[in-house]
Amino acid sequence: MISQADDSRPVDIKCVGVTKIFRDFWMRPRVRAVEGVDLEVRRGQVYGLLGPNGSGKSTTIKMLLGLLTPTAGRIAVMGKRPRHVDAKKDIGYLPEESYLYRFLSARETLDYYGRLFRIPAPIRRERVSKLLEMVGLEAVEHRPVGEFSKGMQRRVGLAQSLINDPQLLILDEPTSGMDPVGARQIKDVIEKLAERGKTILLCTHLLSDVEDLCERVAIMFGGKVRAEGTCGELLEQQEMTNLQTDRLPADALAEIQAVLAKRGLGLRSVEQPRRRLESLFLEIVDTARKEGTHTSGARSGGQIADFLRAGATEVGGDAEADGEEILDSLAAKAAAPQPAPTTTATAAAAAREAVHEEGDALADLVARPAAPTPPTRQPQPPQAVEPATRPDEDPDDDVLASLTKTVPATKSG
Amino acid sequence: MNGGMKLPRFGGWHRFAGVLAAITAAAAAAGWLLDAQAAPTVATAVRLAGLVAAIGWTFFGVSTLLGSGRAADIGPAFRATLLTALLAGGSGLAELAARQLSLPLGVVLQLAAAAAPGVLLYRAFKAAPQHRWLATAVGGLAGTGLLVWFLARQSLSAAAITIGAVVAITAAFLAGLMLLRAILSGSGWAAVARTVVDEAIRMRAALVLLIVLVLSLPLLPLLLDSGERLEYRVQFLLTWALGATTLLLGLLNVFLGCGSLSGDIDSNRIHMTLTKPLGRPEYLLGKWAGLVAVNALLVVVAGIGIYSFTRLLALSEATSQGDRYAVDERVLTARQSVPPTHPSGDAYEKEVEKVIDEFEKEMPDAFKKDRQATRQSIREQYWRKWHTVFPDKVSEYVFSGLTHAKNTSPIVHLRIRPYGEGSGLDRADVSFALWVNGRPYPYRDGEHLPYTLAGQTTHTIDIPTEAIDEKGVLRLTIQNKNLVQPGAKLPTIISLVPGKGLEILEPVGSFGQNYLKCLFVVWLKLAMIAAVAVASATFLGFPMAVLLSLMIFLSAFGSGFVGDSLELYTGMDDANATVKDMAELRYSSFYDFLRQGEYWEAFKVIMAVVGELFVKVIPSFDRYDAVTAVATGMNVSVWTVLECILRVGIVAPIVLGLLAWFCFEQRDLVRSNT
Repeated sequence: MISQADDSRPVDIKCVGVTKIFRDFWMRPRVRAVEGVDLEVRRGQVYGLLGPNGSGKSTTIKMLLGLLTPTAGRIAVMGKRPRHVDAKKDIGYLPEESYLYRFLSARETLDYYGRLFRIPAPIRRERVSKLLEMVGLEAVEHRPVGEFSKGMQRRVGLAQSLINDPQLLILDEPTSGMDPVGARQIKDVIEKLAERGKTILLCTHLLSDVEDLCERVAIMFGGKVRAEGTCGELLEQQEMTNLQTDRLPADALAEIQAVLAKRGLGLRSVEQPRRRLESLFLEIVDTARKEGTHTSGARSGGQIADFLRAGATEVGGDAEADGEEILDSLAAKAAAPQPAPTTTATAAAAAREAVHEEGDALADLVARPAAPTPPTRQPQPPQAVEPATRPDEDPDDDVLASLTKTVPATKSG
Repeated sequence: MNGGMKLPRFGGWHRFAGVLAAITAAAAAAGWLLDAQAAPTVATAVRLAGLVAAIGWTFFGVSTLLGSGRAADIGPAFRATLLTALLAGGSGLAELAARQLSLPLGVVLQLAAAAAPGVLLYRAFKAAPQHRWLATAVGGLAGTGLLVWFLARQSLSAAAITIGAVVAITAAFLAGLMLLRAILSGSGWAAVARTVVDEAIRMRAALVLLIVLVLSLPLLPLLLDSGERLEYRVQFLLTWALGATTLLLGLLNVFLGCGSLSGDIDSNRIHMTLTKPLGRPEYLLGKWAGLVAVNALLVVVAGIGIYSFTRLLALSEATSQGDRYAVDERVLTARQSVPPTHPSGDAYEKEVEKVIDEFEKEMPDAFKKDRQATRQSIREQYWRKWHTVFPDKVSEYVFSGLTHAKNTSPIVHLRIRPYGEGSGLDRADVSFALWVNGRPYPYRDGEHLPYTLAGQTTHTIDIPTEAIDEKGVLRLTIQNKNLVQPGAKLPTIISLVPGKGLEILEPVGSFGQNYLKCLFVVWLKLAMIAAVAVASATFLGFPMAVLLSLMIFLSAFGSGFVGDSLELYTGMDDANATVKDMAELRYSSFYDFLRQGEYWEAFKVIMAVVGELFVKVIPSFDRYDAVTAVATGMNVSVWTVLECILRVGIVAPIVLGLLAWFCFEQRDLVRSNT
């Protein structure tokens, strides 16, 4: 594990002593939202910003985006001041709520944001179509966004955050308002983008999302960073060891207990592992989709848009060769015997299992001429487990492609 | 036909056409037979029943074909054929009904045929909402065009022209909107501007305004008695329609301008926009440009409507030949005011100084108190004396620069507003004899006829341009012919207000060109109001921004009224005072009132100062009153337009823009609880 200090990758976000005090009309200090925050997010990292409600996460993000001016401290985003127009060219932002113009359709909304990025019209049109397909809104692209459910609006919000193929993606509560299928899709998009060298700042209070996705986390409370580091550094419980075995009869269990007792070690718990509710949900949805149940809401998205598959060129290296490495790694995952999963990886594993797509999507990926970027994320800690039951493992692309078969979100009441 | 066509559920289009033909033939045959049996009433009833059945079957069939959601299955050629057949058939049936049965029935059938294409296309494009309104509009326009043609053939010209004008306005609006969206298809500020246009249209604000304008235009002339002079009715329509347009569009700008920016901030939509590579000044520019674009569209569309209805009204019968002449030559024209050439130069200055010296000798005390003010007062009195014709005295007035009028027009108008003074009577009539270039005018039947005009009223006298000499000079000599009137003590003195009391009006352009300049000036004023609204919303919430914007708008719109009101409020006439004079006067008044314990009067002085500062900072729309000019046939001069461009269209928005930029740059766009 490379420490943050030894990491040579460029710094995309740097905060030094950032403080934000909100004042009232008479300029009296009213709320000390952020205090003395130091943050550093390097190129290609997936960085989690955790904290309960009111801890200062969103305020910090808004200062990074230039929507708020810090009372004290310095902020640099992509090497520039947050309010600098050039700094925003490579940033994609998904706010905690999708604040959209109700009278614009989904297509018009994406086109509007695309024009703000000064994307040429032909490229913009193509990207909008692909993004709408990716988030499963192509069938309702001409409906006003005001008629969408919250989840559908979030999907539009996700799409607009990717319209410019950003290098830095800032996601504020990205799975908020999404059904489990949509939430799974967002996580897959994050993983895909991270593999392609994008920098992602993920602000959330859903701990499972962070554990699944983030390389480093910072935990905030009361406007201050209370803890910061990799998941491994922060979560390892050095004093215990987990084992996962086939189902044990009572006598075998007793033997194990005796062995441990001989060594002066205790057996703290014995229980049946449980699959994640998310994986069960996805399996049910997949089954319903295969049965052909109709829906008028959002459909599950298609494959990740191909313009987003183009890797981060700053990472360097031969794109085609790097693409081969990805393919090799994907193939190696499929072939290698997989250790038992911990609860943290069960969701990802079960989701992939639940939405298994027929056909060889890996072969499809091999056939494509454009190679993805090399993986730039830090290697996972030892506890990050490969799925246990994945003899016919599909590449990650299959997940997104197969989501077209799942039941889409419907408008909540 | 398209190879992908599927047959309708009710049995196929062959069956549909066959049944339709059978109904029509049966009704026609039955009617013919009954006519032959001398039963015309029953024959009419049978024909009518056949008509209704045929139309009902047609609507049902076409509706099923197009509205069933299977439009995608039916080729566009077939759809176009069906709609054309529907339009033609419906119009034909309406024509037949109007000729054979009754005109009202024919009108109803034609209305139904006109509405059908729009309704059916609206249903047909359910699956393609992005084209739905355009398709409906095209169908509606086609149907309405046939309706107008039908009405014209039935000699219902007024209805035809009215409906045609409404259709033209609608078509202009749609075409203008498409053009606007195409122009604003760029990036950056253009993207923001186009969103403002979409907001105005789709949030119904602009549409409601347009509908109110379009529906009220034909009603305005009806508010006047048809026996009233046509000249006044045309002026009324122009004044009120253009004035209402300016007022309503100004209100639209206030609410839309404040609402668009405040709405973005309050709803946090601005977070999604300003986190893109778009600077805050560019964002504000986009908001303002969007409002300016909406103004341009609505001013053009309303302008087309007002112009059409004005021309239509002008075609009405006038009350007299003079009334017709007034409409054509004094209203629907563009005239320029030429004042008399005032005396100046050394000789005049010597004369004035001589008078001042004589006064100083006779009344030295008046000069000791304030020499400068007394000298100025004497100058003004001498000036007014030049504009005064004493009983049995003669005054000559020279008008220069009339060569253009001599070469292009047979007539110029002398506009005179005389005041009868000195007789002790209110609104005394004035009598005078007029000479034009030394010749008595008018001279009829060997007699030089005098004029007797009501005092304090504007009158217009036509002067033939052949009286203007080769150098473009016209000399008018006025002799006061007033005698002592009954009830008066002295003969009436004729007093002419400097500037507007005596002027020659020469035609310099057409009504159309003048009208365009007026619309342009209106648009510039609205651009300023748009800048006010956007600037207000950068540092105020929606309610306060609207309040401030309305105050500024109404102050600018009624600046003349506000100025007069302030004078009445304080009782101080500052018409000719300098800023220093005003400041000294206000201070001394305030101090005097405080010393005397009249606190309310002192408060009024403060309010007057605040009001005057407010009015002086805001550009006065009265200064660029193109609406009144157009309604009275006066030319909106190029200099007026240029000055309006500079002050109202450029300087004011730039100043407001800089203020908005400063405020917006400092502002945090997030509330503390988010």
